[in-house]
Parts: sequence; structure tokens; C-alpha cells
Amino acid sequence: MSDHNPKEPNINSLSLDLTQLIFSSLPLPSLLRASAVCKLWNSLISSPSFTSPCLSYPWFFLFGLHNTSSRNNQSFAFDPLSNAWFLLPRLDDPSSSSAFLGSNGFFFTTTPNFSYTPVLKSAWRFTSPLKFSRLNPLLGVFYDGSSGGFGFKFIVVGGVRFIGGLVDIEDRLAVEIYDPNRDSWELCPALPADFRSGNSSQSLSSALFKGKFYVFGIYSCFVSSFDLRNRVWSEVQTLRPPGVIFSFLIPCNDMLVLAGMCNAPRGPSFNLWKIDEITLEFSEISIMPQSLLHSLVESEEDENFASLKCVGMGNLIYVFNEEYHQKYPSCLCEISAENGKCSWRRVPQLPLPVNKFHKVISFCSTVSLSHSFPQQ
Amino acid sequence: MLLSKNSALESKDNEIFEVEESIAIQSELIKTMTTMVNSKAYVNERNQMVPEARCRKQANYHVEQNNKIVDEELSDWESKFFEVDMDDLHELFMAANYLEIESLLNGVTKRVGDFIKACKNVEVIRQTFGINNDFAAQQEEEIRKLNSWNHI
Repeated sequence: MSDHNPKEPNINSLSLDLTQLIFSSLPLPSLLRASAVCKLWNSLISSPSFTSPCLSYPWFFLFGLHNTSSRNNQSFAFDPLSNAWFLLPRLDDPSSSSAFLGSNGFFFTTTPNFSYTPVLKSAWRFTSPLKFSRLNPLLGVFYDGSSGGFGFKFIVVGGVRFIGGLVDIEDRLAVEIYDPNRDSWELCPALPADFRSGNSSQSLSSALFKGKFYVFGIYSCFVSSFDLRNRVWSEVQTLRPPGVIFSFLIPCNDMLVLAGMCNAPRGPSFNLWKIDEITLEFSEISIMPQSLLHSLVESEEDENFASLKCVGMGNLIYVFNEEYHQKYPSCLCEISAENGKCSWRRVPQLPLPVNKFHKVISFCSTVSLSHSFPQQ
Repeated sequence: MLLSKNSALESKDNEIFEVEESIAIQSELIKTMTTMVNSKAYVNERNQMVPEARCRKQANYHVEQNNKIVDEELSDWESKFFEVDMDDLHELFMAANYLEIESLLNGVTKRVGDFIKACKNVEVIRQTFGINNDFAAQQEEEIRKLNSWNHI
């Protein structure tokens, strides 16, 4: 028999440390729910001293854009810890354009104006204009330890020039780096000519890793890295393990990973290689189980694999099909922090109804608590 | 009569437990005390949160834990061990914290976390834990708006 008085909750008589310990085992959605329970819980969770290993698992974001009717746009976010999809509310970005991108921690629109908001929040800020306004660039968010209110900077690479509705494919656009403390853009050397800038985010994959912004040609297999401190590009090299048809560069926790479709004697397969960032040597670390690979495509004809795309960061790599037919199926690979072992699993289906999109934008990002609390 | 390998633990309500020393020292608190006082340890009056039943349960916890070598068996047994109501969990929590037994603490933490995870929305959490909503209406509205995608 307990002497629990219903008016005095037991759990609240636990010390604050213990209560925070409980919270640090919760995935983000449950954590946010907990923060809405009462003032005490809210203050414990929104406290700057609160940390949780659950927050280091990157989410997978899928944005579906419809060419003619933006009412049919949909945005989804996947939490790997609760293994659940969330339908995001309409983001009402200021440009309502299809020039929509995401990169670690933020959503962006790049044209006609450049603006950004923290992930899962609708708090858009316009920046001063880019010197070269552009469509579909590669985008990265990095922290260089500079002082000032904002610790981060944006790097914009490539993309196509967008002047008054006309797209200019030939231009090689300068790299621009944004400093939010000064609200200014710095011009840097453009992406080497070996890469055809073109529709950058479609044919190029990028990875921010150890102070460098890597650009990798998904089909061309060219790779070069931009040193964020010295603002120079490395020489362009080729990174193509035998049999690779197309691949993506992924910044994982301690290593660069190449993920891509491969033509093996036994049939097509999706492989992962660890890449040494200095020598660019590759070594295979995992192959997606065949049954999982086949579950992502309609049938096993080669051309169906061409619509597979891959994003990732931290300890997770997501592979999905950007064709509508099976409602954009996806799977993920988790790389164990302890022993580097890769385990693959299917990601549950998107919550229905799922519209048919003309363009699917995808990216990986961790979600921080500060995104979800009102500005202090 | 005490065997030399055993420690005697006395709880607040004066019950004495004989526990194998290797198990008793899983509690950091007892470990510290036994190094001071040979093979007997007296858990003193601060232990008001650990009535007899709890002590016994903990002793059992460790015995069983040491016996179950196979992982599956252990996790099965652990889920059953923690399948108790909120009040019991609370006591286990206090005991694990006071006696500084890390594995027990982790187990209880996870169990309470599972409770929270299973709650579909904020109101259910409040009911489960008996917590009152002390937010001002405006604050609550703000929170709800920020988290609309989460079906709070």
C-alpha cells in the first residue's frame, strides 16, 4: 500500500538530475511532448545544460514539390528513434518557390531571395542578396568557431544562374560564404570546371567533413574539396570503385562513406565504401541486402535502380526511391559507433495520402531542441 | 550466523538481510561502507525510502542478474521485474539512487521513459504521472503551435 497522495505526484519528487536522466532516454517527439506537460518539465528540457544522446540521430527529410499546384506540396520528416514519419505543416516559405533546399539544421530558399529558417520551425529570415542569385546550388552549414551571436556560416556552391526567369547553364558561379553576424556574402573561387555545374543538386553530391566541403559528381565520380579555412579547392580526382554506376558521398561520424549502385557479376547491388579522405582509397564496408534493394524498386530491371538517391550523416545513411510508383520507399543503414558494423532496415511507409510530385528534395539533418522552443 | 562471504544489511525497518558480498558491493554506497567496516554494513536511518520489501527485491535483482548469463533471458526477466506500477517504480528509483546501483538505475530510467513514450499525447502523460497543468493559456498555446506536427 502506498501513501501516495494524488495531489503530490511521485515523479516530481525525484531529484532534477534523475528526472533529466529519464528525459535523456526519450526520442525527440516524446521529449517535446514531455516539455509540454508542466512548467517544471519544460524548464528541465529547455535548459541549456540538458543533453541527450537521442538528439544526435539525424532525421530524414523528404520534400515533394508539385510543378503547377503548390497546394499538392508535402513535407515529411522521419525520426529514426521513434521509427515514425511526421507530416510537416505547410512551411509557407516567403518565396513559395521550388527553389527549396535543406542542409544540417536549416531549410533554405535560394531564389529569387535567399532565406533560411531552422528546421521544423517557420521563422524565415532573409539574408542580403547573393552576388549571383542561383537555382539548385549545393549548400552547407558549418561552424568555424568565430565569435559573434551566430556561430554558423553558409556555403553556397554551383547552381544555375537565374536572371529574370531565364536559366543560364554555362556560367561558373563563384562560391559564396554567408556570415550572419555581418549579413554579408564573401566571394570565393568557383567550383572547378571539371564539374559541370548545371543542375547542381541533381548531379552533384556534397559532404561537409573535417573542415572541408566535398563536392562529388554522382555520375562523373569527380571529387574535389573546398578548404573552409584557406578558401581553396583541391585538385580534382576521380573516385570510382570498380563497377560503380552512380554514387553519393556521405559525411559519417568518423569517416567519409561512398554509397552507390554497383554492377556486380551476380547482379546490381547497393554498396558502401569507407573512403580515406587523404588518399581517397576505398574499402567496402557493407552491401545492402538484396531483398531490401528489390523492395525499393518496382522490378529488377536496371533502369529502375537509376531513381535511387542517398543522403546521410552521423551514423545513418538513408536510401530511397524518388519515383512515385511505390510511394517513395526508403531504407536506412545504421553504422554502429562501437564496432562500425552496418545494419540495414526498411523505413516504414510515408503516411498516406502521398501525392505525386514532380520533384523530390531530400536531406538529412539532426533536429535540436532549440528549434522547437520559442525564442528566448 | 554469518558466513564470511556475506554481508548483513539492515534496513530502516530493522530487517536484516544476508547478501553475498559480491552482490552487495554492486551498490556503490555499500561498497564504500564495507571498506570501512569489515564485513558488516549498517544502512542507517537515511534509508527511510527503502523499506524491507524493496531491499529484498534488490537483493533478488542482483542474484538473478548474476545467474542469468544468456542475454535474452536477462532482458525477459528484467522486463518482468520492472513491470510494476508507478509507486513501486518510484521506490525502486529512490533506492537505486540512494544505494548508487547503476544497473538498477538504468533499468528504472528506461522503464519510466517507456511509460512516457507510450503516452499518445500530453494529457495522457499528465494522467499517468498525476501532474497538474500549470501553464498559462497563452504559453500552452505557443507550445502547441510550435509542435503541431507532433500531435501534441
